[in-house]
Amino acid sequence: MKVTVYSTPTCPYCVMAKDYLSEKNIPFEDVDVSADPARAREMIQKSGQRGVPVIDIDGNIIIGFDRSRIDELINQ
Amino acid sequence: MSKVIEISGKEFESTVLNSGLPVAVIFYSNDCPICSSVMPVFERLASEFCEKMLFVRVNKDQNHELSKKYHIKASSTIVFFRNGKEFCKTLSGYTRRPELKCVIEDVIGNKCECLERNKTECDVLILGGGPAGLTSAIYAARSKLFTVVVDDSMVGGQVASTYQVANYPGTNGVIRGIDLVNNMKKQAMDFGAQIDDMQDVIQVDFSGEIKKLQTNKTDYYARSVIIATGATPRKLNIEGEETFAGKGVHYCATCDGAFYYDANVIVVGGGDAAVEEAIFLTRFAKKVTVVHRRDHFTATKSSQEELLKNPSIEILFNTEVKAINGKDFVTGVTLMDNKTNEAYEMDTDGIFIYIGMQPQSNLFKGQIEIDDYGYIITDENLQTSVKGVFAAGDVRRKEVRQITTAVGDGSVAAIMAGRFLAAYGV
Repeated sequence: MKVTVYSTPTCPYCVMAKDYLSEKNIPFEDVDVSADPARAREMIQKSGQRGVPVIDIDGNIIIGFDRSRIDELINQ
Repeated sequence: MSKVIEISGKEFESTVLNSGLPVAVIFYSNDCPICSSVMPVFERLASEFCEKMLFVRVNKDQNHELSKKYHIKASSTIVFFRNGKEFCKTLSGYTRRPELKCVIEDVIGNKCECLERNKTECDVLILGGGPAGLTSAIYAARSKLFTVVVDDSMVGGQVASTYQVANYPGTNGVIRGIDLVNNMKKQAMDFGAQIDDMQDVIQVDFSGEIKKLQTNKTDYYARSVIIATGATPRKLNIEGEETFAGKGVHYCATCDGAFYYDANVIVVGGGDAAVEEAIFLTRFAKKVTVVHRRDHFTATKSSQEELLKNPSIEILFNTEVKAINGKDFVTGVTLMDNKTNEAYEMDTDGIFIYIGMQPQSNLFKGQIEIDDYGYIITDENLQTSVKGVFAAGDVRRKEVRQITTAVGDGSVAAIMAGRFLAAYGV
């Protein structure tokens, strides 16, 4: 399973989402979109919007910290 | 002789997970009033069922990693294991003999029928884990009341998404919102409060002497309840707002501001949040326009001064946003001067909305008195129209809503809940 979290350092929901994944022992790539414009564009392309966090779990895009959707995808 | 064996985390695998018999494990702590009432029941049932089940006790505080692994938050919590795996139900807090006996019989019989849902009984049930709820938890737990905080998200409330808190006494004035609430959370947990975050709350019932709360997994029972559910950002309810949510319409500058590097953005509102977030957004945006329907700001003077001297900020008073326009993303807004009623278009890349809050009180409608705006009405001791049910923080009808006032409310509500319980000998 490949998990990417697009986040900004000042965003609390991003911190919550990352904490939640760590709690579940799910490794993920943490992309700081405020520091990397290219990856920010990639995130906007994938999610069609500019709100963080965006979580990509094997190509499935979750916008915001949606715990039940995360659970659904990691339990598959 | 006691049939209950005390083990440490090191012995857990060999004793519990590799056991041929099913195992009941009680996680306890010293100096915990609930444990001293549950432990004798556990001991008694251990002697009764010792041939068919192994009974084990683990000191929760001395075995942090193990407790964390099994998500043990409350003392006491009883977890059952069969063939190395958790089995059937987990029982937290006060557990009566018939209930425990029933689950033990189920586990031995390799079925799980008598409790379909988890059940938590507590002295004080706190709904909402923002500053008000967490302060209540600190006070109630410190009074040795079994206290549970239920939150539908992670704890923290609105403060968690505030970049920096300047006016909270005793801090250095630059503390991050998320650090402030994490400190409160830790303090509450250190005093023994249980925090159940990420709960899907279904309904409450305040009609009986014992109040009930139902989430998708657990039934909570408590004699006293503190409602500290807070408020969520109010929406403009205009054309385009929903369509472009996340696509140029935002409610959290600290989250999404970074996408507007070198861009033009609008902030709507005139209170503390609007003014402070407008200043924050100048870190990224080349120009921030603050749009406010009144002819003056209501924010703190010092924030206003900072705003006024910021060269990247322009202010439009007496102006309302009528529509948000764009294609895939926001490209502009329709504004209206409310003195001349003249409408005009303005180009923008993003719009951040800070026009106040909506109290989160829908769940309680019909059970307690709520005003026309959705705020919960309390007396001066923060009791609602139902005895034993208190309200604290932004969800309550009052004039001033600050972190400090939420914290003040939280302490009053917890102390009054404690006095209310004392009448029942709790």
